[in-house]
Amino acid sequence: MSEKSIPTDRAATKSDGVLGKRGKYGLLTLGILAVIIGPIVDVIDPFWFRLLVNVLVFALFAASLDLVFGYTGLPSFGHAAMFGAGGYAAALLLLNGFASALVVLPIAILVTIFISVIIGWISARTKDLYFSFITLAFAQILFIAAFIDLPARILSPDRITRGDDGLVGVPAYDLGVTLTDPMYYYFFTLVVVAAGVYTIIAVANSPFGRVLRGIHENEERMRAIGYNVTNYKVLAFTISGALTGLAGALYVPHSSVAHPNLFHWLVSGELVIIVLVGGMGSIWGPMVAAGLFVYLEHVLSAFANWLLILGLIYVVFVIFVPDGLSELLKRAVRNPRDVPNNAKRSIKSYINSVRYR
Amino acid sequence: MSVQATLLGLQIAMAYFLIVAGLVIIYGMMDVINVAHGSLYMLGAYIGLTLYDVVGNFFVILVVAPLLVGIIAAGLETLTIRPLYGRHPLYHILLTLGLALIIEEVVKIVWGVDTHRIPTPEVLSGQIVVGSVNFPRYRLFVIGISLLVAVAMYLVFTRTKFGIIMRASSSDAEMVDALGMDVSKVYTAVFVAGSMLAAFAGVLMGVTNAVTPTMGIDIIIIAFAILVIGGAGSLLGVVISSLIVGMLVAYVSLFAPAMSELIIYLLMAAVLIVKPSGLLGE
Amino acid sequence: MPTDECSRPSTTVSAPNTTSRRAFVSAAGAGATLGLAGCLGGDEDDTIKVGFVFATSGPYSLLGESHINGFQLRIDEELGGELDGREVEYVQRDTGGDPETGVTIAEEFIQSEDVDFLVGPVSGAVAFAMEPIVGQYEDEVVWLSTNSANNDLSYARGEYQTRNMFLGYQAWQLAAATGEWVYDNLGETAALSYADYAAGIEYTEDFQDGYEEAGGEVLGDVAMPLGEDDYSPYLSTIEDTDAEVVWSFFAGADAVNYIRDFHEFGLDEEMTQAGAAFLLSADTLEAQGEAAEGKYSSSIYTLDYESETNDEFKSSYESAYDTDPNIYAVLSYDGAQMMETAVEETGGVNPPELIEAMEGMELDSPRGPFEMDPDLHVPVHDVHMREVQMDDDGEPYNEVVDTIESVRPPW
Repeated sequence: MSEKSIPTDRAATKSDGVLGKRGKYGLLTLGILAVIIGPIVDVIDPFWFRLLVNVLVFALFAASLDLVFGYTGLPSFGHAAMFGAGGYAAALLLLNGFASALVVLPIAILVTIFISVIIGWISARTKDLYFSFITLAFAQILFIAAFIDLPARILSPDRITRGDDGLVGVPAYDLGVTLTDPMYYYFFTLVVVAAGVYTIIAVANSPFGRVLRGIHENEERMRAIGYNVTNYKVLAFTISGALTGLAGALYVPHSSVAHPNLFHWLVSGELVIIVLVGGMGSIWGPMVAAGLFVYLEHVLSAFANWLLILGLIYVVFVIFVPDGLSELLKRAVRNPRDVPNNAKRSIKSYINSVRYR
Repeated sequence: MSVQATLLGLQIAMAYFLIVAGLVIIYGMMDVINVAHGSLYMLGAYIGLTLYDVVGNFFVILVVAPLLVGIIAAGLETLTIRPLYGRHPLYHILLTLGLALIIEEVVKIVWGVDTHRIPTPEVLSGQIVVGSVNFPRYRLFVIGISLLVAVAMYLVFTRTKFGIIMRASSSDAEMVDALGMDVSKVYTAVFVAGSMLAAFAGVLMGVTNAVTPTMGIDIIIIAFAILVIGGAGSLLGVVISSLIVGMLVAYVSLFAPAMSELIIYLLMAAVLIVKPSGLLGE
Repeated sequence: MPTDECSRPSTTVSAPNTTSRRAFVSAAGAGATLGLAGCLGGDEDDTIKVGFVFATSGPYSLLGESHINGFQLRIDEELGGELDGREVEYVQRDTGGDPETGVTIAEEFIQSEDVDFLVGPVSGAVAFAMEPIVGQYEDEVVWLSTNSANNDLSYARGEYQTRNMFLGYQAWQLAAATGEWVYDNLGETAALSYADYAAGIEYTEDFQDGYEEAGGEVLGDVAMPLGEDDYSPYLSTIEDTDAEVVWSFFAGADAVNYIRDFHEFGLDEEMTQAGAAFLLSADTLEAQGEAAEGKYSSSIYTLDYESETNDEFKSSYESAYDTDPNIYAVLSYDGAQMMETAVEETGGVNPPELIEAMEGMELDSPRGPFEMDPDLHVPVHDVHMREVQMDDDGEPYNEVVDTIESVRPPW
């Protein structure tokens, strides 16, 4: 991955790592806001409240992906592998009499750690496009395996993943009380996601995280200094994978379905888009973008040919908001009066760029 | 060895090659990961379909449809890809995925969601005897014409001024500048050429495969797998990987049909474990 | 407690009662967009709300569009958009064929949109996923699952069962029930080829059961990946069985590719091709062309089936959408007819009453008259055995060569 054009706020990174003090307070405010907003949305419309759980889940997924993708510079196109693995592990346990979140979540995480180590260890030898596609290959292998119920074909004539019917009617977790009530599930998810995001930020800002940042900026130098770059990459991939699996394990009981689509490359692809739109490496940008996407896609899907609108949004966004939402918002907060000027400038530069010299 | 499976493997390989050939020149020279390549392949088939209703001659549409797609590609390149030059290649994925969605939806609006197929040209219908087996004439035609395209591409790259400039632009944009050429014009030409190859493949495959709005998105991941296995940017590498994948699919379909899709991804993982930059990647 | 009528069924969160909730929302000016209007008074509504849970993107989009067309043809074109003096309103979202999305949409339609009827989905996997969720709202919504064909979804069978679900047809009816006919008329040995996914496997197993029970022998089978472009590498396995008949399950683009490849490699001359409806139906025949000629399929609807009802339906459909109807359009057209009859009969939209009215309902359908089985919630209809023939313009069409009457699954 050439470093020339990756947008990074390097000055900020050097001084306080990912998310400065202000960013951390910002995120904390968001968390508190989520506590207050949840019950209010529920009163207005219970369904939109249910979507909030999806927002939280995909925010965690996006933040986890950003840790390897934007922060470490490993362009994984296969994170659906871990999302699906966590989801299927949770579904199989919940459907077979294990109800406690304290049992199921740790096992789901262990399963994804196992898978992430394998995928990470093999993939870490490759770079750039090759890294993207080897991770994608693993996710597609899992997709097909779940789709044709390969485990059952190998192990026994019985059904295990139930092929493309998927595992349905997955019950909610139990935590002393059963979390069937959406309000309980929401707060449970909020706590788990907050813990996950806290972990990601702590990792990013630790000495270990600074090595990852170093690898992103100049891998050869880190190697020359004596770091075992491959091990760092595998570990980063595993941490990210485990948290992605956690997101999957939260998502499946909420939607009540574990379907092979969880592993599909379109899921990986969508999360990559969320990270790019949110702003690579900022962690919070992709989280905000995840929330926007969950709502936007739901609203748009009522229209015929809604994917056309989504496609147009991608195209316009990538041309006019090159650094992602995080930079856009930062600039807007820093200098609100410049917003119209900035907009004018980017349109002008677009027109210049499409002209032949 | 089964003669029929080998011939089929060859035919599948050549069909893959035609699709991936366009991808490889676009990626190799422009560093653009073009997710919309499958959609241009699909667009070629649809335009071919409509032209066929007008002209009624398969060989005419095989030439004209790619030209029309080339014009559309020139517009897309100028308006959307050009502003992204110099940006990290990842952004091209976001852009071209957006383009893929737009093309697919526009096709659904214009042509509807029905399944179509371009009729087999009269002179190429039926079967002929190859050694011990009967083999469809049209599929032999696909093998032949794809080989021609491969040879033509090789000659263009090595023998013509156009090819030399194109190759120069991939290794050193400044050198092209020094030659007094406009790099952005070269890039437009590369993108148009790649897209025309995709459309050519689309018309050709629209005879043996159903023409549907999803045919582009269905093919694109396999196309990238072949690109990566061969070593992105290497034309010879792509020829080799197309052949391997085509043969593998033909034989695995015969002996373990459930595995025929899985095998491509297993192969990709295996190749990248042994050779992290693909068979002939640098 | 009235709250349960318009929110989730069994939650314990104490909430203000319905009216004050609504008051709050309308005060905030959000009532219209959030669609809570249906909450107020249940039966006193002046509109009937229908939620379409269909795929309108991806490989199922043709099916989704046809279903919606068929449904709206009955209600909007033929009945002027009104039932029993009430206006019919629609909400619609694209599932993209994805079960999670399907569940989300179903929940939204029930919880927020307060639909009286859910119509859809196309995919059996989506229906399976929706079943446990929609099942919790038996008193709030009637589910017309006008397409889904999985046997296990019929009421009073299997582990999934929701009384408020009414199905278009069953895999068993198109497959197992035709085994004897295929044995008697097409051949005593068969090979099976099918798309390797839930529906393909179920249909093929059903056919094998019916065929073997009739005395037929299955000499081999090939499962091919769903969405395969090129079937030619698999064909020699079929050819090598030397069976008289090949029975297949493929749909949409897969069916087109399979039939064309089968013809291209000359297997026509060695064996008779038969299969379930989708293999050779109105949406595939044009693209299959002459390759389809002489091939057999079982279906509950045939475009060229001769009856007054079908003629009227065809001309009404053509004038509305400028294209021929297909089986999917008929299924939802009948779903709309069921809704129409039940609403008129009960004079309201009370789901338990509607469900009772639909059980045992007899309908005059373009597919032929049928009865909704009161126990299974599945239509007991005739199965047409068709052969593809070429018309004077050289276009293929399905000719009904035999009819298996009033087919009811045996469970």
